[in-house]
Amino acid sequence: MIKERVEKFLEEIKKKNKRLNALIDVYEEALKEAEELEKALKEKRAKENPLFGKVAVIKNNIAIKGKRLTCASKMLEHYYATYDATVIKKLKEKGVIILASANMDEFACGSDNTKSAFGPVKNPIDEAYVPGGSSGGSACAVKAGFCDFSLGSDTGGSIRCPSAFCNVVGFKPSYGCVSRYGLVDLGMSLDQIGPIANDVETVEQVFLAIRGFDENDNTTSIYKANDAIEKPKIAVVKEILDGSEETVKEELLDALKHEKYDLISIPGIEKAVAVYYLNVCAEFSSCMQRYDGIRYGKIKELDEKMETINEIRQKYLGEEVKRRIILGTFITSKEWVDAWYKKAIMARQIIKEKLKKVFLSYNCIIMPTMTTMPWKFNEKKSPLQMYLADIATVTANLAGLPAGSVPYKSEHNKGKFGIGIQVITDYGRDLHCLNVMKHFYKKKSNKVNE
Amino acid sequence: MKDEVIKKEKIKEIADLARIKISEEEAEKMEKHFKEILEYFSSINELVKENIELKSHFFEAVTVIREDKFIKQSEEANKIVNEFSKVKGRYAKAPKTLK
Repeated sequence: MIKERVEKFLEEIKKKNKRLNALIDVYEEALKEAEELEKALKEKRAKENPLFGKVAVIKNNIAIKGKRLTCASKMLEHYYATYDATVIKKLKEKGVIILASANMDEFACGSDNTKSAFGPVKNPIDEAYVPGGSSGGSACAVKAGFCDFSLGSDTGGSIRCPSAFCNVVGFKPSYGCVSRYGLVDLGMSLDQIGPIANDVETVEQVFLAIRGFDENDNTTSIYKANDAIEKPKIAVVKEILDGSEETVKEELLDALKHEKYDLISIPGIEKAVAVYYLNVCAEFSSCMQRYDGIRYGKIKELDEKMETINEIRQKYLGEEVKRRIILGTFITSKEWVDAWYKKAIMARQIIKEKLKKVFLSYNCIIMPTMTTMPWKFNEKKSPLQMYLADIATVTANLAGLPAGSVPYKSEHNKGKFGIGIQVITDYGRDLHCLNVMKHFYKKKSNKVNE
Repeated sequence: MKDEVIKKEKIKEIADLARIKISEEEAEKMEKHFKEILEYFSSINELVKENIELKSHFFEAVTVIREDKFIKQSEEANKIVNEFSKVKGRYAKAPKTLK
């Protein structure tokens, strides 16, 4: 049974992955694992565990012992992880089969998965369009039928964006809820690992399996779960809705038909993109210092001159990665740290407070995940235009709030793509967020699965 | 802040601090991009009207300490050494810092 399912997924991968390029490495030994798990089907742990025998694809910035951990970068093309990330350990304990690593934007720097050293990922709904990013491979793999679920990581929207563009379900837990031990950092105060699947139930099952305190990641000591579920009391953010494309607006309002909600204003929320990128570039430039060609990546050019480090980083890191490192170095340099980085931290605090105020009167915020529909590959975007695509998603990362994207397509929508409806709830209220997501996913007016 | 432009020479200096030897073309491209980006980012000044007290951590974490116990060198350590680019014994070879 389990083996047959793995074989079926491998068949789909053989058929479609060459074109879609969603995966980096496929682990053929998963078949053997499937055989072993089948022997254990009658055991207690198989019967009690909804994830037993399920098949997963993992974003290639999450460490799997003995497997390549490339982060879609030339710098780590020959680097093999020496341990399992905590989330991987937990999934393996539950009997999950890890089938492949997912392609992504290099070091998670991107919003459309066009910035991978291993080539771009295509949108499985229509290959002329981007799948979203940076967990583009993870979302594509789910929609293309390569696995039961995937893991992605989300720093400014990297799970929710591709989930919206590929019309699947994606969830970013509260900051500190899921251990980052074994996740390659982008922004240490913003990153979270989260699940992507075709339905909210599977996403919730994976979430429950991977969350929890981890002594290897001290930031998990922050998290206090509030698992109470309530009827949604909805606030819709005017600034984001007004800033959305016509189709996106119409679809969101269609989903909100027959819902009780208030249109609220959060002045300054449009500035969240600026606040986010300043914070993330500062943190990123710091965590990228370790890639000097000495300890990671088996870089053959490494020689005795100190210059060699500068040359290796120039050669092996992609353009967007270098841009963010240099920007981050600039804003944290002595001359500019007060004007830029310190201001950015203050601005982040202000945004966090604004959101806290909203949750005094409401228990969820609904907005589009992406303010535009997916764009085509030949639509050139400047770096700033790419950053602005994250306008609706960055806020949840800045404030550490749980946020998910649910695919929605109204019967009036005759196009290929539905939209992603974004649900954001207060800190620690991950289960409540997932419950509201279920509500929108299951609406009669939602034709996304037809 | 809105009108400042980081010239390409300054960008090369900063890149050097970040240990990246960017090319002349890249520095020129970045000058253009940074102008656009920083102009946009300066909008945070409209959000921050006065200085706020900064805490050392954005999220309040609890200090978690493990037992001060010697742990024997594990198999993991050998694997880590195997990933070094150039190795001598159990040491990673690195460029000379002193001339």
